[in-house]
Amino acid sequence: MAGLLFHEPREGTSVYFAARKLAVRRVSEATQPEEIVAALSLAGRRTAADRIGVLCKMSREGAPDEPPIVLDSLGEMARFFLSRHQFADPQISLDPNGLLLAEWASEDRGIAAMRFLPSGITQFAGVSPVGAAGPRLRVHGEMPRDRALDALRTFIP
Amino acid sequence: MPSVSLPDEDHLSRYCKPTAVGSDGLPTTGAFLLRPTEDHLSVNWLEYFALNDLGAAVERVRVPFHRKGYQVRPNGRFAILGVGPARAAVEGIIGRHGRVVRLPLEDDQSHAGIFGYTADDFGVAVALRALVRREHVHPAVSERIGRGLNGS
Repeated sequence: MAGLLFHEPREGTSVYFAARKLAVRRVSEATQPEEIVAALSLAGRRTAADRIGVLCKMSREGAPDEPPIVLDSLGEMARFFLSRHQFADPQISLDPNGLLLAEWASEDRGIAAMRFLPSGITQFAGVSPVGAAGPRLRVHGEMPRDRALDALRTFIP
Repeated sequence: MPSVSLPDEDHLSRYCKPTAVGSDGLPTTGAFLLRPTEDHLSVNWLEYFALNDLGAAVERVRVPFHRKGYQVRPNGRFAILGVGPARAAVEGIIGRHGRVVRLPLEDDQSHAGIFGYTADDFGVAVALRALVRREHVHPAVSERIGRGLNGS
């Protein structure tokens, strides 16, 4: 019975929506990356939470060669994960300035990536699979994160 | 020193820091993005070493990294790119002339740079990432270098 306490809330249930609402609030109030990691975990985004936790550790241990994580960028990425949109788990990494990146790669669709700017705008680009002539596009630009995801849909598995 | 453009058929390696390597062990777009203060992406020209094997050339690239005191970390990676495709990736996205130029340093003679894009050109970094193939990704730290550094 006790094991049930560790189950993630089932999607679409009232517990799920309550957990997500609480997580969004905790992301807004966070002053440390680890608080955002905990909020994502609370909302059932365990894969993303674990990966960001690893990046936090690498960022700390790799200083000064590794950039510190930019909290506002992490917050933007977390809101993206807590949105209602459905998408496969992306690879998560940092840019040279500590901004968060999400990236999807597949042989048949190519590469899609998003960079979460602290301003709330997302830079995005999609490149179709590399052929003999090199990478072909392609979409790229800057938009709010939901519209950026729409622009990249054909590149995301 | 006049800049020398590298031949399209040659190859480059790019060191990818651990935070720019995905959980799948492959470099991400983050490894190809520039800082605002940078006007080129630092790479190494592999044909400089005149070896037949690109993997063996990457082995030689590791040496100046250690010599310069750069913290190459075990979960970092070296990614190999072709010069021509890298140049084409820059030009294909932003429509400007891209160049891959040799930039030898006193302690790193194979050093080179990919020019033609800026820190804001996110699409170029994604296009460069798209060139990376799993078989052309090498660990940042080899056992041989590790043994050498330990003096045994």
